[in-house]
Amino acid sequence: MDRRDVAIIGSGIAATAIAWTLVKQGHRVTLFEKGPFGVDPPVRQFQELFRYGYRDPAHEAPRDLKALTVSGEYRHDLNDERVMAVGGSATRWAAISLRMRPEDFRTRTLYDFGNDWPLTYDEIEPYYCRAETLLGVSGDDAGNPFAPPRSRPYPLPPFEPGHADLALSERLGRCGIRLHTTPQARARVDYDGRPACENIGLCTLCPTGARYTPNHHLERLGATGRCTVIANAAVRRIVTDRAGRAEAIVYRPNDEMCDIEHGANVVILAAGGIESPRLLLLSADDHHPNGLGNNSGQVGANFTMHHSWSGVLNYPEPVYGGRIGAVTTQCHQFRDPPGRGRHGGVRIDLSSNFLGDLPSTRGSRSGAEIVERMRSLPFRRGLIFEAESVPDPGKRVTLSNASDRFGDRLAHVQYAANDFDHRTYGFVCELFDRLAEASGGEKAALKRADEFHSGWHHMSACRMGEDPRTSVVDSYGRVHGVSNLYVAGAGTFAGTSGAVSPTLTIVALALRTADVIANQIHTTKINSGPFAIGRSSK
Amino acid sequence: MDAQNQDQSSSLLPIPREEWAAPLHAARKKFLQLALVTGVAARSAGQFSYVRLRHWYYRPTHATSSGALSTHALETLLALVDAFLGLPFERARYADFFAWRARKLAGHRALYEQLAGALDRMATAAGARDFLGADPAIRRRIVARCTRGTKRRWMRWLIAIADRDARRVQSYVLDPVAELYAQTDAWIALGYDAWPGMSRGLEAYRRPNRAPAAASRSWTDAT
Repeated sequence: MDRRDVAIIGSGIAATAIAWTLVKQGHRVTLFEKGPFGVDPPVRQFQELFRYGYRDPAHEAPRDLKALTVSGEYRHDLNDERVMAVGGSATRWAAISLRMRPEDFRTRTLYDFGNDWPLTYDEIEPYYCRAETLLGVSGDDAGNPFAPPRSRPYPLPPFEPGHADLALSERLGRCGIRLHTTPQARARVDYDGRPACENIGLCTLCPTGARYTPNHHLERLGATGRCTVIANAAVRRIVTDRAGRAEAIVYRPNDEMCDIEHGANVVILAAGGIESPRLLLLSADDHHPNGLGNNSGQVGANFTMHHSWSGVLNYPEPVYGGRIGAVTTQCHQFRDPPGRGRHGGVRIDLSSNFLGDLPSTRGSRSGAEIVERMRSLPFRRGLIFEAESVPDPGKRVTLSNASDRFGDRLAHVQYAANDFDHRTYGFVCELFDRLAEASGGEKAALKRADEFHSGWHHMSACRMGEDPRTSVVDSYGRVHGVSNLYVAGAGTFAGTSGAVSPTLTIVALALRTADVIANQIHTTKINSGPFAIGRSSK
Repeated sequence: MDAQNQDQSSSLLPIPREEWAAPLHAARKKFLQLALVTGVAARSAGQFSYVRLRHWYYRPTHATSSGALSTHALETLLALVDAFLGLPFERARYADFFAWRARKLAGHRALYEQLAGALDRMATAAGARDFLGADPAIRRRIVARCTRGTKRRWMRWLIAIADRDARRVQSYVLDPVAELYAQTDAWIALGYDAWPGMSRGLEAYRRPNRAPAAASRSWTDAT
């Protein structure tokens, strides 16, 4: 059995932030990724997709390994919302990097819904600063009275509002609705080896590297010689010893027949909001018959997602949306609205980079017909309402009856919106009406209540808390009952991340976890305690 | 009664083992084979969704060849795009598009070559030397045969079943061309000064939209 310091399952943004911190301090880290390596920046993928109209499945894990089953009423392809490749889902993200508000950590106390987090905004604030530095966040809170307090300025200047944004901002401002810039991990100017954004606009696969992806750091980590990424390998379970501590992980290269056991002094599970609970459940053993960290049946029980609805407003004059790829303007005014508790808070994305659902060109018979189908484009503006949600018995991650190629049960997600979500949708409809009236736009479309999208934000299935009876991990991500096993990622959130994208909070928490692990390894190295490095192999 | 007969009469079966065991073994083997085949077939049928079936039926061609496209086929396809779109387009982008797909995607080279041949035959039947040498009006008429859309669902099904080649051309040639056009040239046709995918810089979007900037660099073309 190979024995190294730290094993991280997953190679996404949380895994990378932890690896970056630990390797910089001299520790050895091995990351395990089910999907293949990618290149940073992903020029080839960009060209295949946007120049030749081809999505190569080889850029991700095989479909039978990247799979899940779903029941309930979620209408979108949940499996498509997970990227299983080195770098994880943050190789495709929109890069919006927002902090939660202080109130978001105390919703049970303040508004009688959701769960209080076992940490406060003040505790996480320094880590938000570090996360912004790591990701290279461009931003400015000057025009945003709803931004949470900060101890350090953003590392990069903001993306300014566009021409169309200013006109809209003025109209909305007259009706008391404030728009402002959006912090994002997209380089406004050259930063840390990344070039300034050129506004190419097809940002899901930024071909220049201006938008942050974990591969930016993973490639550097590889060069240190202290970090190894094992790609195309599925981790099947985490092994614990008689004392109940994680001592190894068992993985199998995707195309091989034999398992390999990899010893580790610390194991970090950072495989995403659905795969992480799955692996805890798959790792059941004599000491943990219900799965690791699942003595109280909490693994998977608190799963929730953001609920996002998109809409379109049409204007009589052309506004020419879509001339910028970066996210320019948002409205945070309703993140913590007066009715919060009865319904959720809502963040509104009014950036001119979004045009709503584009018309299909399939079956077109001429160029003129294509142009005609797209005729409304210059006159329209897309909106996204991203709302917080709450855990519910109708939302859960469990193990499926279906299995992957190795016979390991897949994850099963049951998801159904609850009354809170429906009331939030009512609030969204009110906001849509207000925005249309204030901006002089005609309401062209708004998704129905049951058409909500998760925004790719899968949260809370390994919820953090101080009480093992109601949570899976503590505030550092340490699994209750398994002292050297950690979970990182949005799965550890105590609920949703308010109404904001979770990524910056994921990275801030990951950095906090990394500090604790580094400190523990360092201390126990000296004392030859349970974290002693170099124990003999089995 | 001799010993041999005594042995036979004391046997539970009236015939020697070597005579009944072999056929039974064969029957069991056959049964197991049949069960295996049935099991695999049932399992496959369960996984063989309508989407997969449709994909299989309309895939570009049963051949899996890919490779360099002949100059004649490429020129014919560009003439097809011209007749299909009927609006200005950046020729080099579409040439690159076809060449790449022929080289990289299974079956596309064969499909493109076959399509070019079919277009030539139709043009010849209409009195032209080939599709490239045909009058623009003839070209448009030929292309219209491939794009005979209808709003009636039953009619669409009928066309889809009865004319698989037309459906293939629509799915693997014209629809991807339409998508490429919608992502690029159509933006200019709609009055935008650039389309997403070009390096547009961080100044222009803060100014009012202007007439198309011919000098704008296409990022994808530059690489």
